[in-house]
Amino acid sequence: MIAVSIIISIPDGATELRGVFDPSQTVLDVLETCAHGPNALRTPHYRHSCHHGSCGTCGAIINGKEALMCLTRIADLCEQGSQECRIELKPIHGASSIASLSVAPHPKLAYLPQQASYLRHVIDTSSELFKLDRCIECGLCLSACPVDEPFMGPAALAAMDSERESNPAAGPAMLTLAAGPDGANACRRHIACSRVCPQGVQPARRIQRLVLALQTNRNDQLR
Amino acid sequence: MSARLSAHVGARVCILGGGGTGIALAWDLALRGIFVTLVEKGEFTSGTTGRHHGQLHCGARYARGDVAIARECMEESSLLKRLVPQTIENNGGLFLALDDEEASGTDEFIAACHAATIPARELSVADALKLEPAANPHAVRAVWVPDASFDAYRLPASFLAGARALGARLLNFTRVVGVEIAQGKVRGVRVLHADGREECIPCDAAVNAGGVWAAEIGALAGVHIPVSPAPGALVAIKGRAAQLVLSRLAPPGDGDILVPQRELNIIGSTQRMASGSGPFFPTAEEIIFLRERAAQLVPALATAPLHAAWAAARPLSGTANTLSDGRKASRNFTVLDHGSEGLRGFFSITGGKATVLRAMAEKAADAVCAYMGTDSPCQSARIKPPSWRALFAPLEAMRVEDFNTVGGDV
Repeated sequence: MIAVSIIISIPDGATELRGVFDPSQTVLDVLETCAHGPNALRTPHYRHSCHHGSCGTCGAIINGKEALMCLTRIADLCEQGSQECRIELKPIHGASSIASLSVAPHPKLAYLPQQASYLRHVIDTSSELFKLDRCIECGLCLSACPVDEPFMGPAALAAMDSERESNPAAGPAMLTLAAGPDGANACRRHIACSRVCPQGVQPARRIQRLVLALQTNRNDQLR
Repeated sequence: MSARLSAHVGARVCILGGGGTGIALAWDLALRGIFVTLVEKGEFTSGTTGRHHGQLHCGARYARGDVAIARECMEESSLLKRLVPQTIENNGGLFLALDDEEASGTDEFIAACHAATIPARELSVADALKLEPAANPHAVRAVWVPDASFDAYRLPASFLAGARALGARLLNFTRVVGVEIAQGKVRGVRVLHADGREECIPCDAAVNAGGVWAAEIGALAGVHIPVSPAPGALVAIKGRAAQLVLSRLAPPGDGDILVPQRELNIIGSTQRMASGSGPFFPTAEEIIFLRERAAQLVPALATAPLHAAWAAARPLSGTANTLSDGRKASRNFTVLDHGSEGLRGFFSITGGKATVLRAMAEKAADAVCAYMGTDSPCQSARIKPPSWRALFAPLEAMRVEDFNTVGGDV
């Protein structure tokens, strides 16, 4: 067991919550315990709706890095044997606040292509089995992306490339969506998106695939 | 806004509890032209709904125990596959008998499924392994059923987005602190907003959809709700080892379901009885037990890395005294009309399960509408809600006519 001090910093001020926890418990478990105990009224509002990294609503900046609270264990943040674990939580960047830690989905998720399916073939396009897209629309990539020029952001571009891959017929339409000045070519290759993605979507790699495909299209037109 | 309001029948209903059931009820009532206020103390779908393994039951699991529940699961899962297809992995499921004792129940199981209209069919073990190569090759018998898995957040969030588009007032992070009663009738609900403001919301009827918190909400209105939280642990394993929903061909027990979802396989679940409404956490023993049981269905899971472990509390109908064995408790739901206890216009939904959330909503809405003298028919079995992404999109007031139906346009 380890003493945990969670400091929640929001624009209105900071709140500190303390307790003793099993290091295998998650940051979300700590908040859940506080929200049901004597500190209930001091516990800031937060979102969560699955506890296994599927809903994408519990993203936060945890000790300076974007992560899901449900998948971040106390042991991931503090060394074994340390006396006290200090955890700082902030809302993700760029999303509007609902209440304290809880934020609305990042506004750049509005660029997700509405006509694209959320279901993907399990193995390849010959498979009749489907699974939900890897992307859980948590917005962590959008919070971490440092590009400040007009840019639709890594989440939507990754979705366009995924759709191109699983539904080749939609490829040209997806490339058109990604071709604008705020599209794939606005990426500055910081790769912050891929570093924080909790789902292994690797948006940076997908954006580069789009950049190459757009380049190939242009070369074909010049020929 | 005016186009939407013109469709209103003038009745106002407060729904207390914003889990899957309360959300489906908000959508169903809003489709009937009723002005809905949905009150949830935390974030929507953050209670039991927000801890669900995501199995969309075709009913096979319940076929031998309760044919009516099994049939209802079959009807509702078929309907949801058409209403909200983008939130469902419709890949089917296999029931596997791993020893002769489990195999001896196969014929009875298939007959029970057929009695509940579930199109179960036996496969040779070789064919089952072609369909699901990760399954235990030593399985003795295998039965295919139309099970599926769903995104336990995005499916209810789609209904919530629909209710919002029809003008429902959605109050999350808002606590119910009292029920206003005059002459034996519900007149309003008092709530405490996130910013500390109190408000009395006038209404003609109120529905308690609090799930494991239903007794606490009932107490505010002075009624007793028999509900028992039955918490259980769930474990998510990294990687998509299995593709189909896999179950043990045995009476429902602990650790006998594997639900593939996204890039995970989710193992459900243990079940214990508890008092209080949580929070509940899994024990180390439960995690080990679930992993061992799941590896019997899919051997590759023995070594695959753990992704997450958590606990969920099922809201069983009844009290701890009558529910000595939670597994034998009915998973049926009940709509209670507290008018018989002298509180007219107050209703509670107890029990039930995520797969039948829309059916729970329809039945509760029928009872509420009958009480209010409103004869708008149910439309939630016919009309598709918008995408979950519309939940936070700029609000465009819509009319019922603006939505698509499962058979095409309205």
